[in-house]
Amino acid sequence: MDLMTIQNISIFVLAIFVGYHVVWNVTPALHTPLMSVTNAISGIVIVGAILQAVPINDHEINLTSVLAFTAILLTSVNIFGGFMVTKRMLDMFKKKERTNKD
Amino acid sequence: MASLLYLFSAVLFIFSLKGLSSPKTSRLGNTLGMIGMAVAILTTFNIGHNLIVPMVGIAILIGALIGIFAAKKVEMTSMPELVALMHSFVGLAAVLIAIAAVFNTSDVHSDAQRVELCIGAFIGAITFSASVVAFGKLSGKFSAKMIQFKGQHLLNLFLFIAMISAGIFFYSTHNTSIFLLMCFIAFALGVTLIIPIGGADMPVVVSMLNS
Repeated sequence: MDLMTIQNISIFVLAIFVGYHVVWNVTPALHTPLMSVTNAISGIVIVGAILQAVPINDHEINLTSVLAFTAILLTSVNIFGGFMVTKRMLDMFKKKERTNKD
Repeated sequence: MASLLYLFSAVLFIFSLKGLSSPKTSRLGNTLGMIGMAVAILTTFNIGHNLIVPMVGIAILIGALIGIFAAKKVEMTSMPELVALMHSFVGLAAVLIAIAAVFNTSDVHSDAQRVELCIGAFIGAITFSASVVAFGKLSGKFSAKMIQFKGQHLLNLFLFIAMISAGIFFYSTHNTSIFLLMCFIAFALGVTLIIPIGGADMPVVVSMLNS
């Protein structure tokens, strides 16, 4: 195995630990927003999609770039939608807290 | 430099998830997530070689408009559905990216990259079709009942083995149609895996698929 592969595997394994510890003791009430923010962050695959939007043999429209276009569109729905949904959910919490205090 | 920026956005994501774990910091967490995403996207614009920038821009713009519109419009009670639906988008996008990369003739893929492509594509495909079914069950479009039939596990096992063998075949031959075949099998596997699960368990499934 080359160095690059080993590096990638190490990152992957470390990420598993980070993910586990970050999410381990979350208040049950926050599970739904956490789920939707995770969903938004999983839109990071947009990076892969953007990198595929390249001309091949000087043709700008080709199978790869069209697929990339579709993928970018889908993931950005996810990113913007995901963060907005989370924001709305959290706003709901804020309102609740206020009414409780009053 | 680019790797450092990516590292920075990864750290922001971790803090974002961490922030979401307590009510006090949850709003900050959400904002950190947005910043992390912005950093990652801008970095990608900088490192990409001859990207078709207008194309990328238009795609992001349309996606953003749809996403924001959907997020504002949807009723609070149908949020889980929306999340399931959006989640299916990520899965589909992952498959499309993998297919795009396979058909990108200007790139030669190393052994490790081909393994990554296979795994990325089939996980994406399973996520997509399973999330679509989850969405259908949550929104009541499909029956929320458990659908079970004889030999179900056997079928799943068969599909799984077929998918893996197609993946291995692609790995050794670089055959693009085999790669597409693998994606199709993975789509089917996503459906057969998820239909036996009842509607009430769907949120659990959605969060599992999220991973």
